[in-house]
Amino acid sequence: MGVVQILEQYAAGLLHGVAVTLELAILVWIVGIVIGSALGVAQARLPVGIGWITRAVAFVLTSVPTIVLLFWFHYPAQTLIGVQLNPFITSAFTLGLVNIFAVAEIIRPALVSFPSGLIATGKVAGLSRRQILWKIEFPLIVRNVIPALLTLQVVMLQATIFASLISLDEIFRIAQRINAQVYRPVQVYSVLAIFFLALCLPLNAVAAILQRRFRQKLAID
Amino acid sequence: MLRAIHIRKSISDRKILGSVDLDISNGKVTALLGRNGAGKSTLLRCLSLVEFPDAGHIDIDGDTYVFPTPHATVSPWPRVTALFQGLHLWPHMRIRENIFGPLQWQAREYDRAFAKRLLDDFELNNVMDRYPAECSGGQRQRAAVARALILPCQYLLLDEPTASADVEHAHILGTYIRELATRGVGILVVTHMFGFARSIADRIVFMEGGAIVEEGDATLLTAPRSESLRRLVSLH
Repeated sequence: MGVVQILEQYAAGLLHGVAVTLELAILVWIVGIVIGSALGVAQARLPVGIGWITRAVAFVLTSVPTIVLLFWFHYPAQTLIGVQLNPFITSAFTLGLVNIFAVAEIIRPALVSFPSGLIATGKVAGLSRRQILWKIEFPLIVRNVIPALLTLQVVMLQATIFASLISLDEIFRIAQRINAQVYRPVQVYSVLAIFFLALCLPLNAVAAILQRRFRQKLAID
Repeated sequence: MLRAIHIRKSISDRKILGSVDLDISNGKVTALLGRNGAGKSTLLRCLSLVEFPDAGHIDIDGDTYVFPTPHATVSPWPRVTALFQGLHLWPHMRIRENIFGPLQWQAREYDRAFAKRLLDDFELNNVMDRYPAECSGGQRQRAAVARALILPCQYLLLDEPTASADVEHAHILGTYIRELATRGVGILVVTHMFGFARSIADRIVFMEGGAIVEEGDATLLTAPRSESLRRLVSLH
């Protein structure tokens, strides 16, 4: 059985897996970027004590492998609190949590290390606080963090395959089940690799291009 | 008049300024001299209200700001504008936007003939559409100086405006500083170039160790009273 035949025969299953993977990834991206950005800003702007608490949580989360966290939230945590959640919810919660703190760790240093002289120059040129924020700080910080954020989101997309281990029917689990039936690992996992290549390669390329472009244009000295 | 009264400033328990008094008069050019670490740039930043002193007063034409009371919302411009040592051109904007952006965003009027003449003399016309990173160090400095000179103000504070300038451009800058002074602008220039200070300044102020050691007219540089200034003058 070739790649085309597998695609034809298992189209419905594969499309379902793709849909679940994309739904999960998009949810993790949105939650991570929105809440993580807000957390990063809070860490940079709020009193040091609050920043340290959230950084300590980030330190713990980044020290535990994502797959261990996923299992922990799926089995022991749910047993402890006496609930049984859909694996999709557990996966979205766990990966979203990891993404939130990872995004915050990109945003916070970008804000903290922002050159104060650029803001001071805005002040003596008569810019209002709002103008300084939207014309100077925001565009520069966005340019600074976008490449790293894109790279992180690619990692989070790839991390969605861990959800297969808690029985979520995302693309990797579907591929495993198809392979169990047809036993064509080269064809099946090649299709899977092409799927991730098609999604991740453009994102990685955009991140690399932006990084190069911004570094050249924004660098002084 | 822009006045610093008993200004004190420390950073991490290290005294930077110790009770400094300085007046910047309208229509006069004051050159602030001193060795590295004397406190000149900190004093300039305090006078421009982007850095707040620990104690003392800053008085701008009768409006007094008493420190350490916070004045986070104080906007120095249109009364005071400044060029800081790091130049701080906004790297994501072209030179044109760096110079004229602040005026356009606020729909402020400025002397267009003066600006055109200054850009010609500073040889900036061919770099107006470049980003700062695409310009030489001298061009970046002239662009930053042009931004400060074109912004209409009553007091202009310039921190080492000739640091990357060649002799010709330093001379041209000196003529513009004198022209602005004749229009009534009070100007403070921090510089290490004694010849430049002598040629533009009505008053010379010498700082050391966070304090003003001596001040006077240009003859101060030919007959300094303090040993430290005498030693520096002998090296020029």
